[in-house]
Amino acid sequence: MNIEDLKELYQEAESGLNEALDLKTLEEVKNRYLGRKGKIAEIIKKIPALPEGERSLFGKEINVLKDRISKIIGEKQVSIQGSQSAKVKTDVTLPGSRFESGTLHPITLTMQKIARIFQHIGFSLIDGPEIETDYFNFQALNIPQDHPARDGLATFYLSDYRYLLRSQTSPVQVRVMQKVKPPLKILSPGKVFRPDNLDASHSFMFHQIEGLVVDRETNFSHLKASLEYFVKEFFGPETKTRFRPHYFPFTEPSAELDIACIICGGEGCSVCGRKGWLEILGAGMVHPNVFKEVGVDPEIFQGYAFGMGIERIAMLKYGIDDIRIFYNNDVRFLEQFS
Amino acid sequence: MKVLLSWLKDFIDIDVSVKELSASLTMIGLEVTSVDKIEEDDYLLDIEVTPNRPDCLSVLGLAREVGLALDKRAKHPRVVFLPRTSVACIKEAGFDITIEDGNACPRYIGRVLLGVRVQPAPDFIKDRLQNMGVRSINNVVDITNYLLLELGQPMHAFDYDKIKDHKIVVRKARKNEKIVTIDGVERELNTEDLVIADSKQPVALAGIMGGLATEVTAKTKNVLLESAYFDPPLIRRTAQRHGLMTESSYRFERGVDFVMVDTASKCAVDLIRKHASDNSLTNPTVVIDKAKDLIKKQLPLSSKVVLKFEDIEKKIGILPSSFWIRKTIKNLGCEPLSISKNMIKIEAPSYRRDLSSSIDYIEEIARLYGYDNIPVQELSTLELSSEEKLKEFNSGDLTNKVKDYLVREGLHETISYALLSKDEAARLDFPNMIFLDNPLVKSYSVLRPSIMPSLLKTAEYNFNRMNYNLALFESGKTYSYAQQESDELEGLKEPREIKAAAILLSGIKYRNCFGQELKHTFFDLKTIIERILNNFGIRDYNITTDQNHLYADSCSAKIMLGNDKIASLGKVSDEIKDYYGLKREVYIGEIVLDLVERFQKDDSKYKEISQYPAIERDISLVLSKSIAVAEVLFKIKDRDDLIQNVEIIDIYEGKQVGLGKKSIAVRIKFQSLERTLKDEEVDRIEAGIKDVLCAELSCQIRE
Repeated sequence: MNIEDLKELYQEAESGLNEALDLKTLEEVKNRYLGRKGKIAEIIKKIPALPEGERSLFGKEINVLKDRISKIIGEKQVSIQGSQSAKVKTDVTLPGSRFESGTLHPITLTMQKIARIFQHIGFSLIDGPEIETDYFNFQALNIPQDHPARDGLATFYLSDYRYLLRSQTSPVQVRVMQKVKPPLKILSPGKVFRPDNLDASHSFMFHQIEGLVVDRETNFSHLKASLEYFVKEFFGPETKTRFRPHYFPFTEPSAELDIACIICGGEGCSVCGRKGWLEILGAGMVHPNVFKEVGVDPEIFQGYAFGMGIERIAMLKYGIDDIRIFYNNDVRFLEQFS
Repeated sequence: MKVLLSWLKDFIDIDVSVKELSASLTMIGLEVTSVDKIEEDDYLLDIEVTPNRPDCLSVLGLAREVGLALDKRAKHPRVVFLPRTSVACIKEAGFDITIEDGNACPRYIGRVLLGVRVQPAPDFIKDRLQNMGVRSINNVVDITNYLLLELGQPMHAFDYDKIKDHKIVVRKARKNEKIVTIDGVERELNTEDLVIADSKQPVALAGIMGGLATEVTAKTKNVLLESAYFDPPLIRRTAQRHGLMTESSYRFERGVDFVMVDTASKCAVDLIRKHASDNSLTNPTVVIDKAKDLIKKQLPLSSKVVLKFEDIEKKIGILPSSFWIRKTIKNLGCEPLSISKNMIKIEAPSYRRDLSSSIDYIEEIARLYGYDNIPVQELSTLELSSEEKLKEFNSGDLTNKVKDYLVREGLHETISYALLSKDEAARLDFPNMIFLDNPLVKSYSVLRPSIMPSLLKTAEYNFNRMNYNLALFESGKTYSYAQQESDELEGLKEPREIKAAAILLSGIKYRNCFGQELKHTFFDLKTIIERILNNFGIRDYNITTDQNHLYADSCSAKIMLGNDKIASLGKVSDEIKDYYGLKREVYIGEIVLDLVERFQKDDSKYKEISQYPAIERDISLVLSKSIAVAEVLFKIKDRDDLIQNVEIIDIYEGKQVGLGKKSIAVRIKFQSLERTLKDEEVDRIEAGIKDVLCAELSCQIRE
């Protein structure tokens, strides 16, 4: 017995398998070679009789042989099952074989869905830096030093307080208006940072999407039109909305947009804090001071801006009650958003 | 601000239900966030007051807004007439107030009240304070707190006999001065802090908190009542410096009503005389008639604004009737000075200092007209911005394309905190990392220099939950200081952010119910990264082995595009695996998307497809392990233009080929665009290839 014998055995098995055209024959061939009393088992029994130096090499070769035969049997089985599907019933309940399909993160999905709606009505997508200066994040947005409006916008600083991590996406407005003259109709999504302790509804990092429209005529009723369009596209055509007066330093008049609570329908529940309404975004007419700061004449141009938190909207959309789950990235969570 | 419904009713008739009232207030911009029933027919409303409306931080101010919501007018606070007492005037002739900085304190009223009896406040005061969340102290202190809530003017009562020399000096703190405030904390003062001092030392941190030494106690007989206006930013800075936010500082830093300073003071005297008099004296609680009202700097009580009607329509898209506008202006407490067909000239009341320009009135008109009553315009009239001009602002398109591709490859996108712990940063040792000046917690204090640590943490999280098969990616910014040219510029390091995407693979990639199984390998990762580059037309890069502490030396590669490292990839090193507690093989890589963006090109062109048959030849060769396969492929391809493709079909290393050797088999495809190839010419090329491989790479050909 030697390596040549094994080659011969392989060729013999291969031709045997080629002739097997149904599962029964295939099973017989399989038993003949791989079975407990099959030819390969027979050979293995003979290994001890070999000279010591050859045993290990021979053993390895047998394993290779076994693997190759098993592989052919496997392939054959699949092809016979396929060709004989008319005769032998395939168990269609077996799981389909496929590669895992990938998924986008729910925050990305939500962001993309929002962006698509606004792109549909003419908004262009742009990007802005996350590392900002006080000027772009506050000063140019009509939020002077020592202003109480800064309270809600606590900030992370870096590089000896010369720079900061933006606490809102609004600095993008300033950057764009400084360089590009109106008309403008832009949308800018991205990360923002505020030193809030982590809990179910707070995170020191989250995502916002910012919108800005500037031309000669765009007024508050256009703001209402675009944002109502967005709400109806995103949450459904029956969604009730209300615009509520609010205050932001960089817009005037300012508003917050509420939708009737999608959980309780306006009756009041724990999700909406018994109010029946859910706050979705902040908006308003760009403040003349912001225009002046970027060298746009507020006597000629006007427009509106809005900003919304992505996490909040994603939580409502997917029924998530703890913001931290977004950043844990448990694959069992991620897989759900295909 | 929390407010009792019954207290509001002192100033305005409310004939609607608390639910309707809440809805009306909410819709004019004072959102009622909760309503709690206190007792039969009384409710506590929590109302969100935005920072531009300090006038609403009082019962009176909110009553005025209720008036606007219900189309009624709120009552004014009752101001009492204070009789003069000549005896006291003589006795207290030494009393004096000096203001050193008129910008910091434009107005200060001090009233001395003699013969006060300190005891618990009457029930109606105690109950209202308690319901609004303020602790009752004694009648005098409670009265100042009561009026703070009712009128929005914070006041402070000192024990007059503890004021040295009966002199009040409003000044900046001196170097090394200290004060023990009534909360018992000793505070070192900054020379920017405004204090109320007597002839010797500070007795109060102006506008924020009084001093312990001069507080009103049960033994107090005579009281100095302070009512003032302090510069808002100054109070804000001092409060922040000392980490002290009080009901008082909260109002001063937003700005109190300059006129109310006096009104509130008089109301306080009235209440103290009623509820804190020592009736055993012949002259119960007397007020020094020579009360000091120092106005150092007259604040503009109001500003006059011209509001053009056309501007209203231009901004909000609708114009209410001029009758309605005029009525609304009046209801706001403003004075319509003159009105014409096109405009109205308005003067705002002292408590509405936020109304200083035309746009402020447009907002008032819009909110009171009702945002819901403003029509919704057609969308199509809006102009579009030019995509071309916005080019430099980078749309994020490329990132989205990369994400879509990676999802198609079966990867899950993750989003992680962009901050690392100091310890992690030290362990990973990337150059020029950015540390936050004011981190929230140590575990998130360094901006991530790479996305790979985020993915390693995610792997740790998932392995701990027995999720072993991972195919993940994350895209986002990485942050570091720009490399400095010289050490001199060290102090002015410029932070920069670079877009990148990282990929992590571990465990099983494919498994079916017939026992077939594939594991993730280094080469899966390599394919994914190369395809991203290829998708953007980037092909002329070099892949070489690399030394990188993240990767095991045995399996670490970098992809260079000229001098730029566009990507790196490898098997995670044992040290890093230990650090993250990863007990399985993990492959990880990162690609610099900003470089992909810079070097991308769309040069795809149609390549003619040959109509003639191809000839394939397999060559088996044995060569030294140290020779990279890429070199062999390059030598072969370079041989002849008829070579269409070279593919590796087998690699083997083992005893059979000898130590330090490997055997490879390649399949070469020959094809011409013009004719059918003859065996002989392919034979010739094949022989040439074999010669080159033998001569230049010392290969042995296996026949």
